Amino acid sequence: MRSASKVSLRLFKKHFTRLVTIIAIVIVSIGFMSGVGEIESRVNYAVNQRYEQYNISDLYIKSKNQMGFSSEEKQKIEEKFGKDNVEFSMCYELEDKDSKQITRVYSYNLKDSKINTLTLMEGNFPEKSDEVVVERATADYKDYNVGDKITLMNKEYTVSGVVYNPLLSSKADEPSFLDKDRILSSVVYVNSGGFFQNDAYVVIERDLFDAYSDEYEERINKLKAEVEQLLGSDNVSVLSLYENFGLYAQASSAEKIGIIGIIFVVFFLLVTLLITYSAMTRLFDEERSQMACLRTLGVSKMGIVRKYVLFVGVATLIGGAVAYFVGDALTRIIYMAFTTQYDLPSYPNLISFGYFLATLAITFVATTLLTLLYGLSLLKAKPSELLLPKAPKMGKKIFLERIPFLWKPLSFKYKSTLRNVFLFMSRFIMTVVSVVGSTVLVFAGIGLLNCISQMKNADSLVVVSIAIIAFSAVLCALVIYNLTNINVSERRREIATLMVLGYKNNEVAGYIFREIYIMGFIGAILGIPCGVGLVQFVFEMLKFGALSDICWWTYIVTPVTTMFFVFLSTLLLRRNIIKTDMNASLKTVE
Amino acid sequence: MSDVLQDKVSVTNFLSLDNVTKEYKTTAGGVKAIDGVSFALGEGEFVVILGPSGAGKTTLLNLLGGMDSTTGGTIILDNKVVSEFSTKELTLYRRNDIGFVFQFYNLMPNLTALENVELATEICKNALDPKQTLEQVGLGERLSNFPSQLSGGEQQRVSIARAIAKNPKLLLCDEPTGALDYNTGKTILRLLHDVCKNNKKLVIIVTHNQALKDMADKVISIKNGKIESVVINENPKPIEEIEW
Repeated sequence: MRSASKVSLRLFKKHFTRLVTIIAIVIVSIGFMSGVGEIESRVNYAVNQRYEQYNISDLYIKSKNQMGFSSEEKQKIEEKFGKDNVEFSMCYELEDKDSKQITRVYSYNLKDSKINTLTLMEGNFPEKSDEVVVERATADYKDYNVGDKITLMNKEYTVSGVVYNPLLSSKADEPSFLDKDRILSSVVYVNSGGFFQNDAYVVIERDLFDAYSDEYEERINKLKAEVEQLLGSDNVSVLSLYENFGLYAQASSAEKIGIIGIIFVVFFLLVTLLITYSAMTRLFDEERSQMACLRTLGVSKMGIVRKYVLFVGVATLIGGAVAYFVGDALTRIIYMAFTTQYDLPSYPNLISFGYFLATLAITFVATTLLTLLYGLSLLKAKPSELLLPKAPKMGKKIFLERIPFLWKPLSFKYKSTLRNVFLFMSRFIMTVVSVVGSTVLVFAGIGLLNCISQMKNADSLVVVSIAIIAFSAVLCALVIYNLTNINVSERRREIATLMVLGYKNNEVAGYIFREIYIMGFIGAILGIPCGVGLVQFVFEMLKFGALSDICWWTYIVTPVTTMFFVFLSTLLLRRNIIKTDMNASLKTVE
Repeated sequence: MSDVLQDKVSVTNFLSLDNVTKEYKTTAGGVKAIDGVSFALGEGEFVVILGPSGAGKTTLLNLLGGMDSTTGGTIILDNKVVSEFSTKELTLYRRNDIGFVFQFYNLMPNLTALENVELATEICKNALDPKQTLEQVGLGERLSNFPSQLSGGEQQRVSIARAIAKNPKLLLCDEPTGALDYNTGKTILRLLHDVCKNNKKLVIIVTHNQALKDMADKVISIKNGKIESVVINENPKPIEEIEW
């Protein structure tokens, strides 16, 4: 057992770079998947918290009648919902003739109000009849201090306090009733319970809400129809929380992020698994003689494969552990971005692992299982076959060689490169698909950002698309670095041969890297149509955006980014090529 | 008699080593893999360097071939002081002056026989015609075959063709028959010997196979990084007569 753990440790040391690459890829992908995935639950938690804390009204019935609700109408509403579940108020808007600014006035019994409770942020609620409270200052609402004077309908009032109304929680513009294209400049609350009342606020069972559940929506729509029927749709208009931009947008944005998360999770998972799988299969190929040796010593197949499964399992778990914190940080950043747009409570410190555990479990099971299966399938061969180096890949002619006028003029460097690219189809496909996958993610991130930044009231999603771009770019870089690294280590012998023949460093690097340039280029170009497809799908799922919103430069920046990472990886690995030990590589069978 | 000797002395200056040392730093201190080696060889000589494994043969070959640099002493090839070359100069030295033949051929798997030779000739100054060289080693019919389609002996012939097509000043062979069967090994040695004598090339073969010493013009035995003996064979045996 001790020697077994020593062997495992040696494996970790020997393939340290590969270990680190797998860990890094897992950090990036699980970090992104859990970070974006958790946002919806946090925002929903906050939305539910607000809903209960302020006892937010589910329905808002507005009288169309100039005289407001009749006593008969009030009675009908109270009968339908219960007296305690309804509050009436007077609401009107005034336009200043000079400044053209619109002020909304709510007039009701402020002290006894239990629905949509106002939070006092400064000063006191009105004590005297000439005192009022005002809505807190925002980008649109004017800033008042306690003691300021306000004139409403030729009567002067004194501001006794500043409040926060949960129904006006959006930090964006609140449209006026008078003119939907204009926005309010201030909201004033007068403490008077007069007979004239044109607004009714209704609450229903609290636990049905659950951040706009389907049951809630169904119930609300039914109630809306019932109220309209009861009172006549000519006399009233009934609004639900779905029509309150500020409140509903929080939850719907969170839902959109959830949808984006799920779509991108698929791609991140795909790329992660593909890369881990290719890293592990190459690892097996390199270790085949050692595996054969153990097999001849009578070690069981499982006994041999176990340490490789351990290798990838430990890498996934280490990556996962770090990814938890990356994901948590990402969730916090996106939530912070939300709070600049909507008035949300401070970050709810929920302990929820749902997305993290799900994505980690899928990644862990998939990477270890793929490694196990590949290892066992490799060991099906007889030890004597395994002891031989992997059967030399049959040199073959590719289709292009049948077209002499295209093939003949090529220098043999290109001939060799093209044969390598097209002969090893599985490697070619794996490489191109990985590069396409990460290019698609970068494209989709930029495309989403293009679209969102042209939209009003969709700020909060800018951070998400930036996160997609950042995480995809890092993933893309890691994918390409890993593939290039594998390519270099597989071709160590060819590198050494070129060096012995007197090829200069640049010529050797060119010979080896030409292949990755070609595959990277194909991947970068194919990534665009695939990216267009993904973005279109995302737009459809989110019910906003169109391909025409994507700026032309996105189609250039994306493949350039991919190629930049290709060049960066080759630049970093150039040193690795140069320090190749000619002797060690040439004088062994491997 | 004195004329013959005079002739030998003048050609013997083609490659000369003077007190060459290669020391590797280890945590336990310096280890001398090559320790004060001196000898001189002439153009057109067929030389065998003999020694058990670990004696420093390969290190010596690496120093001669510019794959490694000395820590002391001088190596002079054709009046150029190789031991003072920079890394870049060593690359050009390998490119233009040295031909290598290895035990495991080291051909590019994705290039045909002809392309493998072109790989070497494309970059050097006085290269021979790749196709003619392959015909010379008896592979005229297999120009467009890939290494995996050739036998071990044929692959080694491609590798020899690749080395000689560079038209190098020095042909270095590291256990060239090590991976081949007895008869194939002999034909390969025959080929190397012909290249040496027909083209007046200095050929150095590094091996642990004692039997090869009978066919060489000069046998250099090394042990523990030092020269044990340099023996000149006045009458080397033809390859056909040696056995192992």
